[in-house]
Amino acid sequence: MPEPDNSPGPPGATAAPSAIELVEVRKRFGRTVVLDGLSLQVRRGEVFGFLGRNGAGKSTAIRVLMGIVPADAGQVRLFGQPLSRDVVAARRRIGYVAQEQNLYPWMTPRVLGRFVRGFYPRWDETRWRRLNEAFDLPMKRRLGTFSGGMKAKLALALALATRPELLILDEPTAGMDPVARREFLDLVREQTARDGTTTFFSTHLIDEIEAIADRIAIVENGRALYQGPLTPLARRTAGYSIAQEDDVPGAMPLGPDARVVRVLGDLSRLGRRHVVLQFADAASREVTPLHGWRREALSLEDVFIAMVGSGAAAAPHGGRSDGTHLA
Amino acid sequence: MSAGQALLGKDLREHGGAFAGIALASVALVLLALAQNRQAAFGISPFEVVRFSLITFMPLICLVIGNRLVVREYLAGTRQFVEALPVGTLWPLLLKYLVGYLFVALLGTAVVGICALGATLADDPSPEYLTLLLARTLVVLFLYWSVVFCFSLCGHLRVMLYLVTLGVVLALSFLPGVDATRFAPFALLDREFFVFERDLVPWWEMAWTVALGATFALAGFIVARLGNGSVAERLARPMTRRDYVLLGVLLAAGVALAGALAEKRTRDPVRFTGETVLRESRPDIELYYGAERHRPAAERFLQAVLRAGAPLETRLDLESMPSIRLALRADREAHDIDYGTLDGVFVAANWLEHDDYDDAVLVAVVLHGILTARTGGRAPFEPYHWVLDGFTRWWAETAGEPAALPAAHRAELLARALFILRRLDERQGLVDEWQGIAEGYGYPGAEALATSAVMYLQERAGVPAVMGLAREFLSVPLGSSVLASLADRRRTPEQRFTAATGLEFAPFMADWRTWLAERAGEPSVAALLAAVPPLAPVVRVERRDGVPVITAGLVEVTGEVTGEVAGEPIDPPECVLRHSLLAPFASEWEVDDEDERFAACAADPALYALEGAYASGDRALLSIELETQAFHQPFRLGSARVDVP
Repeated sequence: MPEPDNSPGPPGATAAPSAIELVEVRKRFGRTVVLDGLSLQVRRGEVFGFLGRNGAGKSTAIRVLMGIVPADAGQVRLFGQPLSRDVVAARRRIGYVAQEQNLYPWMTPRVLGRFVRGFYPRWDETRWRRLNEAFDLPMKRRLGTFSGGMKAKLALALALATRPELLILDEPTAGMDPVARREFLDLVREQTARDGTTTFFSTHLIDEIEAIADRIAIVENGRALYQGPLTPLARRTAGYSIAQEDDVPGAMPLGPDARVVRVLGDLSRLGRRHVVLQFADAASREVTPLHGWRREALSLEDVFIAMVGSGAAAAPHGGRSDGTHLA
Repeated sequence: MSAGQALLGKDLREHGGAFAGIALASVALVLLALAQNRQAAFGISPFEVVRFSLITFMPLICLVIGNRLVVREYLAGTRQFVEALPVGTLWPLLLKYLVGYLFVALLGTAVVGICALGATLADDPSPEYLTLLLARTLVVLFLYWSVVFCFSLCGHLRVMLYLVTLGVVLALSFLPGVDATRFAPFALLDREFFVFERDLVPWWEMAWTVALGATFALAGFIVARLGNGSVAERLARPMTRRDYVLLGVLLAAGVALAGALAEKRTRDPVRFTGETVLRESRPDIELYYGAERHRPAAERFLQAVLRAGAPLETRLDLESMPSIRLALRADREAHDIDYGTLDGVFVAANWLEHDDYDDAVLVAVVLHGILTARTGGRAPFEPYHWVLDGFTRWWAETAGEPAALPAAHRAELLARALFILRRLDERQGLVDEWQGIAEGYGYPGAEALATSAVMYLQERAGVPAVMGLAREFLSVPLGSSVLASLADRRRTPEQRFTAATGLEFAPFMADWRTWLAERAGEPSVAALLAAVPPLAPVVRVERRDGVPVITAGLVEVTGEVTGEVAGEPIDPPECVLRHSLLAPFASEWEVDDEDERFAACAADPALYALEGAYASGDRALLSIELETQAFHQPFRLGSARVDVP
């Protein structure tokens, strides 16, 4: 995995245009606000993890990215160009694997390939066949008889055969068993590493992100709570607990030396109060907790759960909704 | 290969087999309908099959195509796969719309083409007429497809939408006071105009139908894009319990509405008001006689109607009798009768000077109306019109008691029948070529011929056979559905005759001819026949100084008895020429008496000349009738159709 770049900078500041750039994108369906000022930047060549709970707005963000639904407000740029300029041309540069593989059940992979290649001028027939072979997919069997895993692999092969500059994966492993999931992730990692394709991977499973992502964005309620590399996120987050009989309501585990950005979680469980804090720097994490408080080991999943469980907790501490200030 | 070609190729690969199957089945159905029509005793125009297809299986085909092309794509979610491909948002849907319409349009064109081929065997359809027919067909199909396309995008709501649409169409078709055939799109499928209108282009109706279709198509595309497609996507999900409840409520409301409409449709019969009305409740008869001095004649005639009408209901197992309204028109000639069966039976006539023969004629008209109304207009169909005429006259004379038939009436009826029998070619069908005989020799003659057939049937097989024949043909309403209509045609009229009477039709006809010919030996019949001069009409048309002139007259018919009674020559009677313009949609070929030319009956081919009475291109019907006291009703010697050059 490449060393993450901790300085994403402001949108458009890098020399080469970003693969994806969303600025303050808003989308609502009726009264439901699905995207509430979502901003993202995905650099060319990176594997970008798009993490969020179910219903956080991930799929809608991808539909906006694909130009399937237009944004109500904000900017969407793909490869430096506004998406609205030519959606069809933009889609030709994208390989897309959907959450549900709504493939025609009467088709065989051979027929499917023949159908899809009409849409992509850069379609690579040799690669398509080779991928099918490599993924162990029978070319003459009807898709209606394929398992979920086989369909996902087929969709990946289809996406890769278009020689995409950007590969968008929308929770492709949903519903797969662990073996098929691992196999699929290996294929994604292998293929994208070989081609250097920018990959936008949407999921709600932390381990998938840990396995393949260079950078991530955590999205909740249509907003990005964090955007940046994985490692600093873990390094700048810590959990503490205190027995309830020793606790003073409102007290925090660290003294003024620690630069706390926000409280990610604060709840009582099994006779103890648990607090998760996010720091401005790694040094703050090393500050010794106050009397009675105990430091807890946190997995990335704990961090994620704490973050998405406290989307509103950021405001009182004045932190930004994205994580770029961690740099 | 472009995106459009890929989408088209996919649709053809997915639905091509079904399309081909539907096309083959449709063609087979059309050929079957044409073949059956040709064999049917009462054939219709082959182009009726186009209309038949448009109101029966074409809408169903549109439904199937819509289901395959649109509904399946949404229900299966494969639309989302296409949606993510690099192609314009509406392009896949537009392509589906075009493919669907192209298919139904080709199918419609094929149906018109096949029917045109079938029609050329007996007709000469002009290119303009075929173009008009094709345009009507394509416009109607455009509307059908657009509606189906729009509803197909409404997911599970489509079932309700189809039901509502069906309800609206039925309401418009059956609502009293609404003549749906007067406005688009119904006007394009009007029973009369669809096939018979060959010149006038219904631009306005076609434009409205196209506009309506375009509105539905546009609505479909709007639904597809509403909420960026989320509305159509949500609607495509399976029906919820609430939807089923809604559907149930809608169905119940539809049934209630249909019931209410049906109730409204059975209108109360017209009531005569005033003092000079005689009333009977069973059957429901009202007789208006206008002035107190006409009351005795009115009571006499009412009794005549009751004698024949009252037992008819039970003897023919009729479920109900229509209301009967009889009105005296003292200003009319004795045999000038107005007659209608729209809501019950209406007869207006002058019975003041009637004797019992004339009463029997008029009572037969009333019975004719009862059975025509009872069978929903089915009784006067060509292949068994003779049963209606023959039975009603026989029943009016006898009320089912053969002995009650007066000898003088019998002789007059047989004399008329024999006259026609002698004038006809032996090979010509008699009772089953009804309109031709009625046109040639007048309705009184045709009725007498039919009555003689019923009289012979009664003599040979008894009254039950006559009643069985009447029940078979005159007591059951016309099938109101396609299946019932097909079932009606399952057996030929000849087979039905045999089933009802136990006699084979062809031998019966031959035996009847022989029996009728033998009746010439009866003195009373022979005496009446002798009063008819052996003359037949002859007509010639020519142009004199650019003006069309029709010359008509009489020529001698060899072998017929000359005009004498009991060996004594009679004075030559008067013969009268009557004529009428034949309108394009005329279905009754009675000549009117507005212009009558009288002359002594003589063998002279130029007894009458009509100069400038008709213009070039007109068609006219001319008849020459005998003015004689020997017969009660006008006695037609013959008639001729004339095309004025």
